[in-house]
Amino acid sequence: MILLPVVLFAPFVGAALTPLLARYLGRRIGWWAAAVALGNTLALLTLLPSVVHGDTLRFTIPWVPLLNADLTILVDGLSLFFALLISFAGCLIMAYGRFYLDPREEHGKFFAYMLLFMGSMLGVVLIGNLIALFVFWELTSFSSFLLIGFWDRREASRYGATKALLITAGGGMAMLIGFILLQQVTGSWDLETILRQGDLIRASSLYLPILGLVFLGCMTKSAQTPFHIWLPNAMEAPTPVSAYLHSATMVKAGLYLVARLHPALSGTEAWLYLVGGVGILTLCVGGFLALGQDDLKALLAYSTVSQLGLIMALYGLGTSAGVVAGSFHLMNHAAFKAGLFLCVGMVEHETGTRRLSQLGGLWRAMPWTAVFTLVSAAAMAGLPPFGGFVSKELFYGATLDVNAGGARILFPILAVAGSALTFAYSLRLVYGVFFGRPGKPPKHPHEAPLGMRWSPLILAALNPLLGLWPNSVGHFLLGPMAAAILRHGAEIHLALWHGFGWPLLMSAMTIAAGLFIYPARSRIQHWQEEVFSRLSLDAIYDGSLRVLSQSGRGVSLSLQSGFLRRYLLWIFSFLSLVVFSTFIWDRVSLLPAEARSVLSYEGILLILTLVTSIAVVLAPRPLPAVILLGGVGYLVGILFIVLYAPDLALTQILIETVSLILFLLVIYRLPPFIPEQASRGRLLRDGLLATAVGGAVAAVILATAGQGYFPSIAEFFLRESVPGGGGRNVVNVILIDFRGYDTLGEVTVLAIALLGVYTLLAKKDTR
Amino acid sequence: MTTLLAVTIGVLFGTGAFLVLRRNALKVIIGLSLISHGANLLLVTSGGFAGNRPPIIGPGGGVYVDPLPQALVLTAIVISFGMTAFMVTLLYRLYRRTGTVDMDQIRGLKG
Repeated sequence: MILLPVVLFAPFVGAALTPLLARYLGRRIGWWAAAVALGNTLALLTLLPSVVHGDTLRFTIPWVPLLNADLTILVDGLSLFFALLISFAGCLIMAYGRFYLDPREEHGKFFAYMLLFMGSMLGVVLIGNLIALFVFWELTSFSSFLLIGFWDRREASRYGATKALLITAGGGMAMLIGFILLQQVTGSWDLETILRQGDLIRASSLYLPILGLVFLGCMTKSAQTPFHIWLPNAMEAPTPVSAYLHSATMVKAGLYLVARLHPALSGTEAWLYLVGGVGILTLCVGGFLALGQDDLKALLAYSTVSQLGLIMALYGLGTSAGVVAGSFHLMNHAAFKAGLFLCVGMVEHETGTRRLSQLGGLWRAMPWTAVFTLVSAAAMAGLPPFGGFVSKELFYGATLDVNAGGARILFPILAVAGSALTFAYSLRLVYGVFFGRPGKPPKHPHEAPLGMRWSPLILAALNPLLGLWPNSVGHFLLGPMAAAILRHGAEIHLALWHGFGWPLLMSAMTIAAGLFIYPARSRIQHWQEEVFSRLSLDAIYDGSLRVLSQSGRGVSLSLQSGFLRRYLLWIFSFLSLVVFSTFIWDRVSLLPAEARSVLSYEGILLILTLVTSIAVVLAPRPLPAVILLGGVGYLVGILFIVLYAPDLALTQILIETVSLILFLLVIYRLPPFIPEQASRGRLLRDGLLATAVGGAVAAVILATAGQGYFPSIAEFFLRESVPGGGGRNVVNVILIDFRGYDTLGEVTVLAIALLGVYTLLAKKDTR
Repeated sequence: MTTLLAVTIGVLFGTGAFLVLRRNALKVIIGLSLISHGANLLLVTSGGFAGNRPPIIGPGGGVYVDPLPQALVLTAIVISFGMTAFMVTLLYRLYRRTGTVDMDQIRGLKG
């Protein structure tokens, strides 16, 4: 299936071409981006029949065979649904964005980022390899950073972008560790191989760490409590970005992964309480916070948090009913929430504000926007005949099926509470903007331009379609998706009318409770503002960031002091510590492998070298120090003769002579050694450290000399020297023939050093 | 032999390490030279002591020593000479310009 990589990489190619094309197309570049997304949607639709039929499509690109890691593009019901969602929503939102952006803004940059994000997100859902999945996952965080910070002159945009990046990428790190553990348990990076080994994973002692770490990644990405705090700040992004990344697609990446790993990780109590518990908690916290917002986008942000929590809770139930309900609500949410964001974008575009306190009674001026908002909000509140109603009934049904201790009572109660809050803030959104007393917006309101209205119209129209004909959705999208998550076919009975029963009663209770909460909205808002001015998760985030950067500065100032001495102290201490601890830990023997008796002249030579080098340290003036250093050099030269290295001896003696002359030339112009004002303690410390370094080196030599840990390649050089290199002196042949390029590099280094010396000497003194 | 050689190389590293921790820049340069002598000897000994004739192909018996470390060390000697020469000139220049060879004082200088 060559189509698969084309679909995956087309957005990246499109993004790369966008800045170029923007020169010719100008503001029409938005159409190009939308066209790329449309092309992707159509290409993906051609795959639908075989996926509905039950096939799984694969395309494998060999990647790192050594790690057994191939790039597999995997298309089953789950990934195809997400890919369609990403491409189709991308197409609608980019077409809308073309009108939303001010003509003076950088359209090329914006749409290049959007396409980059689209490609990354497609990668997350289409890739069947954990490492590559992680890479694309981080790429979505990165492109989200670029898009939130699109208006980079604004302080709040930069803050929001950084916050989103730090939190999601931090979770991504935890997830990577989880993936590595998963590979350790299953022995594979390949997703399908891993999914087949669910029993093995659940039985493993690493199961809980894996679940916790991977879920941490999902929580941060999908803005689950307490990591939801980045999402409201991310609303500083242009509204199309909020609609696309922060409601329709990127924040669903966590849900995608939870769904994807369902066969491998679900079915335990830990899964129920962790995934389900966090989800249902997020549903209530998000709903409560949404009700207290004045900014429309903040309201939608918290509402997104809440709805994502709902879907997470459904996946967390671990039952087939939960998976079906969660997946269906995911579709509904994509339709109504993206639509609502686009509507809020139109309101902001036409009135100049998105504060509820400045808005009201807009339905006369913006009838179309009012209708789209009403339909989408009704779907969100879970009213018939929209898709949201069907999925809420399924949600209630699924929570009633929970069969585990306290969760059995707690889940249905929290489900109703969360949905009542959803109802209340949906009402607040519609009523506050379009009905009631007319507000005083900065701009005189009128309807948004026609081109801008198309995308919200299509999105809003999806809601009744999903509600009235749920079974065609069930056949084409939901069925294959649930089957891919569960790894077996799922029975799907979707209907607007489920008959009388608990779910219907709970729906009625939801509406009643919602109407009861609604009048208290202002008091809730005041209460929230009061509490959060004193204590909030954001303050914890800001505080820990401050502490981190200050302690980081402290550490780097103490390590990167600019004093050579300090750096060396660290390096030397670390070196000795590593060597000695390894030796003690592994009980390395220091007895040399080869016993060879010392000939008398060798012994004298070595002891002379030893004594001379100590004398260098003790020399009182520069001149004797330099002369003694020369002595060490010559002694080393003679030692080379003893070690059967005549070439080295020659070179060493020659070079030592030249060095000595150079030192002597300079030495007369330098000041004498001033007795150092070093304290006794410092001298002692340096002395001990120097002894440790020397001892470590000696110990390494004793432990390794002649051990032959690996075979020498000397045989090759000795054999080939005469026939291959045409010389008897093997060292010379290596230097000028076998390793000729190294020697060329060496000559270059010397030439550069020479140039440096020349420049330093030739330059006139300026002092 | 190995033990004594190991101790000698250890002393070269130790004295070198002590000197590079001093404030006088000339001592630092001398210390680096000592360390590179030690490193060169270390590399040559890494070839082992099995051989008993230099690696020059010719008639006669005996085992050649490993030529590869020697080739590496030959390069190292020349490179460390280049480095020493550059540093000595730099030091000379620095002293002419600033009147000090104290590492701590040099650090605070700008421009």
